[in-house]
Amino acid sequence: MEKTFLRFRSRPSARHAFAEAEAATSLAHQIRVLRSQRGWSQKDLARLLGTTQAAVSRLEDPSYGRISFKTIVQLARVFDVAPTVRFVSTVQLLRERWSVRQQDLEVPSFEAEAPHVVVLPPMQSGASSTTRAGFVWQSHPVPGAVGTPRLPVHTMTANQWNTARALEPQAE
Amino acid sequence: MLRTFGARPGRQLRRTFTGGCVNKRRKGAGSPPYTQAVRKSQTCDILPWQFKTYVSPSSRHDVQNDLDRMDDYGQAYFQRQVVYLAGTARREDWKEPHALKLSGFIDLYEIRFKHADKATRALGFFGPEPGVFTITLVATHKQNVYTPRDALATASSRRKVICDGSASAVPLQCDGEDFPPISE
Repeated sequence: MEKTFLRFRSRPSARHAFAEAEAATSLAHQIRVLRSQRGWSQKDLARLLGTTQAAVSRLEDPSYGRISFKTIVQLARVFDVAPTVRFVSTVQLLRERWSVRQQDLEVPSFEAEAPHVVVLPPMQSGASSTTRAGFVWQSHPVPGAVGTPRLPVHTMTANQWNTARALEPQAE
Repeated sequence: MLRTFGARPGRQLRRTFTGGCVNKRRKGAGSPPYTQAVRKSQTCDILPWQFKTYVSPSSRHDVQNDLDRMDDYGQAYFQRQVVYLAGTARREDWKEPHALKLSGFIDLYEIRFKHADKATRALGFFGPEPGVFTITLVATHKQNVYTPRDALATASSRRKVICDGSASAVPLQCDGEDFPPISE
């Protein structure tokens, strides 16, 4: 990675090419992975999107390069996931995407993940980075699960959670 | 010392070290670390594919040179396609529009990417070692015509010479480093 980074420093076109290729390729592959994760064919996804199988094939092609924001939002709705479109530094992109595993691209639908999430009331003290908007969220990983949850639903009550947290050593 | 629990010593040793059925009465008793290692290997993630390039019998690195000669955008699109295919564990998932198994040839695949607004193909095969994809030729493709015209035949013949040991393959390089990197 070091030599690539040095090439990026000396040649802006190299880093611009990397960013463009990564965005196009990762989006195309993730559409394919999310579709496969749900056991859908291109035809199935086309039916849900109200388009043709050929159009879905184009969406999964990194060379296509003309996918619109509207289509991304439509895809997110069909997959029951959330799209995030944001800018990051090229260095961050290089570090995070230098190598990619298929499971990095898999995302459970909300319906598949929801049974594994507990929302707990705010703790009396010791608010941590897990506390947001006054609630503690805890989500179990759902590897590849779309329909039937593979992990048991979390059954810890709010009191048990608070007791467990109270026993943990407090950070200064 | 390995306890045998009434079985013949040699037989017990063989059973234990081939990961075969273990007598239920002594399950877990005296299991060597090897058994744990086998168990662990059955549950770990599948390793990503590694990529190699063809080296001719006269030690010419034609494929790597062709890839290095591409402009920044061609190299970037090729490298990203390789990274994502490396993480695509099942060969059956190497499908269009990212890759394609070519009919009429034994185990010949193409990796698809664009370079200079041309559909470009890295032709190759899975092998010669397990977990490796070897690129034997880079060609362009337009309206079912490959350039060079004999690309498929050349790629296939290079596969043969690699498999019979006349030619060799070396790891694919990006900026002088093996690519894609092995994930931690």
